[in-house]
Amino acid sequence: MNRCGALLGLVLVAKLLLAPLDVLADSKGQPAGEYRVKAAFLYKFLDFVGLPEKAGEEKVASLCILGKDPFGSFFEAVEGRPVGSSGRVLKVHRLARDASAQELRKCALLFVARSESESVRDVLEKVRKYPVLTVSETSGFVEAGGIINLVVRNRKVRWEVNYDAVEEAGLRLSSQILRNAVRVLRRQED
Amino acid sequence: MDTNPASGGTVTPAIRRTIRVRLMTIIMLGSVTVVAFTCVAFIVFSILDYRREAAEDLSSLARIVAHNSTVALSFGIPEDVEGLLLSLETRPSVVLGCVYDREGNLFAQYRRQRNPLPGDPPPVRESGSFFENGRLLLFAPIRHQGKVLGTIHIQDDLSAGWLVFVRNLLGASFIMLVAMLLAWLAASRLQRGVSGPILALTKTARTVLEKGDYSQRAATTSDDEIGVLASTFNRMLLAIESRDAEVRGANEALQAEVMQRRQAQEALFHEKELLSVTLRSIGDGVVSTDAQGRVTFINRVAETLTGWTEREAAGRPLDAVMHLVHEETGALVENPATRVLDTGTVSGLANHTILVARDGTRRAIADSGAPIRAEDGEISGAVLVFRDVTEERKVEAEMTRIQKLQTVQVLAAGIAHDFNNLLSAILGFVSLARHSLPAGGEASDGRLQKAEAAVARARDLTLQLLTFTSGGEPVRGTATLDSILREAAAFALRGADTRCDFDIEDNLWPTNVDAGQIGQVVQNLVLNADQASNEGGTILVAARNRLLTSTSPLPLPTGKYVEVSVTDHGIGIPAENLPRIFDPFFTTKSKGSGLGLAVCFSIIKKHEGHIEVESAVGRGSVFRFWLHASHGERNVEMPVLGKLPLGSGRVLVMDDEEAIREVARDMLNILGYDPDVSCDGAQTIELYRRALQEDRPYHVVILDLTIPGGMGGKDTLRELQKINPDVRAIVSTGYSSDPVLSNPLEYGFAAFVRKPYDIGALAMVMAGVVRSGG
Repeated sequence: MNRCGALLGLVLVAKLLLAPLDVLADSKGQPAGEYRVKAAFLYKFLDFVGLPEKAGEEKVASLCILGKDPFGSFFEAVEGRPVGSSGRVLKVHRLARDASAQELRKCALLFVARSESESVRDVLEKVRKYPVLTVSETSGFVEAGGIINLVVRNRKVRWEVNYDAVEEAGLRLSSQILRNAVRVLRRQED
Repeated sequence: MDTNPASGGTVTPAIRRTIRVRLMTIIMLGSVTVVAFTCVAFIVFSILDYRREAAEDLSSLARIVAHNSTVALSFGIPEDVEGLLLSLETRPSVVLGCVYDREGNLFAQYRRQRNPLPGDPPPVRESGSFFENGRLLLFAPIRHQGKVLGTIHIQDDLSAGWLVFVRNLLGASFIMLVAMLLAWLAASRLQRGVSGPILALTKTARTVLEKGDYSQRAATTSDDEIGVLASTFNRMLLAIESRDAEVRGANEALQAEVMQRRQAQEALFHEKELLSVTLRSIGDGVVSTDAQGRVTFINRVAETLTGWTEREAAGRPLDAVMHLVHEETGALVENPATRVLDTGTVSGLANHTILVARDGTRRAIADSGAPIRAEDGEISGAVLVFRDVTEERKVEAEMTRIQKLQTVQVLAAGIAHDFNNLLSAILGFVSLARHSLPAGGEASDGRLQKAEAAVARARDLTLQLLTFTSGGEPVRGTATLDSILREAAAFALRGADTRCDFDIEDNLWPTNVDAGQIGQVVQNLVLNADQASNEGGTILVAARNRLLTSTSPLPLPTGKYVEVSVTDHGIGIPAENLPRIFDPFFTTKSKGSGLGLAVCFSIIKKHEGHIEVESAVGRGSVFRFWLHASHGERNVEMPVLGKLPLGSGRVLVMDDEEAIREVARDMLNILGYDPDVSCDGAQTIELYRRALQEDRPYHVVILDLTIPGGMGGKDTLRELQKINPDVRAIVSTGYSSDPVLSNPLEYGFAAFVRKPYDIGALAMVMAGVVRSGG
């Protein structure tokens, strides 16, 4: 498989995945191809995660981006759209590095940007044992206790999953997410 | 036998298809149909089920794949989906599986590697299952959280289903075969339960029909409808049997009644026939009329009497058919039937009724009429019975005549005997006087001769009277009538100017008659004819032989007769006098005695003959009489008076009348005999015995037949014969009634001499007796 062909395939996949988001194509600040895919992945993960109810935010699924936002204006276009089957709508929160643990714990999905790779352990500690799906694109994220880490393999965006972290967070993650993960980290029981 | 069931009640229709076959057919057909239907249904159902199952299987497979490919689809991981699709490998019939994205573009696919290779994935369709070209095509949406992510398609090859079908078909066929076999076995066993009783019932019905035996009963073994049918049939048979017996009984009764009626009818018919035949062949005339007096029936005799045939007479008034008039007045007589219809009582006809037939024939009839009453008593007609009494009237008239004659006979008997004796004496003496007249006394002789003639006439008259007496029996001798007729006619017409012609057949049969009496008849008839005739008239005396057969209208037995007729052309006899002319003392003449024809009648009757008259006023009369012809030969004619034959010998004359004794003594003396006289039987016997003792016996004894108060001639002769068996005796009498006169020899007499006798007659008899005695 040559490079050219792989790239073409990635483009195709991206195009396929983002088709519902085509409305965004003309918007300003288009992210690069890789981040457009990752943005779409974040949004879709919400569909395959059993989100627990959080007080005061019944109708809202909060997608929080911690650190420097690499997705541009992608989420502004999709904010308010329904998420999952519970009738909740998407709400995007951009959080600063100093965001309180309270704020972090309100998030359904917490993306830890590359810019915050240094403080990953702290962040993860703050939301530990709270139903927050933590996602990042930093190597060692899952080992640090994060749940999903996006990786590129064969020019395709894929992911790693820490199954223990899922259980610790009290979330229910689709088995297909697990099956399609490039790596599933699981504590040795025996 | 091929029989139309409707055509004959006695022939049992043939059974073409037995109930066994029918039942078997029905059972087999039914079971095969059920099994076949079941098998087909089973096969169809199995096919449908196979399809449905296949569809469901594919659907669940699709659902699993779809469910597990949501993430792969969402995150664009076709390898994952292909891995999922690879699981379709486990289902052998799946040939193709693929997933399309939302846009309908092929996302991932699985193709079974086998020959022939399945075609390329078809374009996306709506969700659902489709059977095409032996394949099942399933399209199902892939959803997640209510959002359609794409479409999954699985294609299944159903050829394996054919295998199932064939397998099922083979199985079904096997089942059918087994089922049919079982059905056959079961049917052939079970149908007996149905057909058995029916066959038995059929057999019974057949037996009943063919033998007509209603006492047969069907077996009632089952308790189903057939059992009920059999018992119903039995009840029906019972009913038929009883009704049959009833009908048979009624029929026999009817037959008997019919027979009885037929016999009654035949009896009635015979009776009617007999009655009809009786009525028709009855000797009397029978005429019946209806209530209006019209003729309804007339029998053969009545047809003959009236001259009307039944056909002609039917419906005519009775008076037109039966014309009745009074015998003498000729006036119409009311028909008795009319009287019967008027009065309703039985009625006889008055006497002297004459029925004038159609051809004018007049017949005296006697009749009686009676009403014919219907059952209700109404008079529906009259029946009249009558007969021809013309002959009866004649007989009656003759009877009357004979009665009158007998009256005369009594009278005559009273005086004629004495008178005759007196005449005998007168005649005897006159004849003696003439013989003893001396020569030259011619004048006296002439007077004596006239006296003799007068006495002779007186004697004739007496003789005529004597024929009426009981002693009028003819003294018969065989004679031809020829000379008697001629002599008698000539004697009667002495001195008359009437001419008499004779037409007498040659070889006239002899008759056995009293010549004197028949001569007397002829004399009387000729005398009457002469008196009836004009002067110069002609009388025809005819005689011919007649053979009377049974068809003869004459009241005489059949046989040979001599018919004598005396015909004149004189004044004739009025019809009203005809019935009476033979009556004694009936006369139309001023000087007639009224005895002439009566004597004729009496004499002919005594000769067993018949006399009748036919006369028309102004044209003359014909008297006819018939006498038996005899087989005997003619007697030698008595010699006519001539020279007296003289004799000799002693003669004893017995007579109670002294005058007779005297004249007889004188006559015998003249004739040369030596006479003695006696007045009765006792004296005669005494004289005869004494003479015999003195050896001077009497050669001849003349005995009077009747001695009043003493022994008569016959008894005296018997006594004399005791003395001398060869005694020769002559019987003498004026009577003619004693049979001894007809055949004196039979009674021992040698001859007979009628009183009064003249010397000539005595001389002849004496000469005969003496000559015969040698």
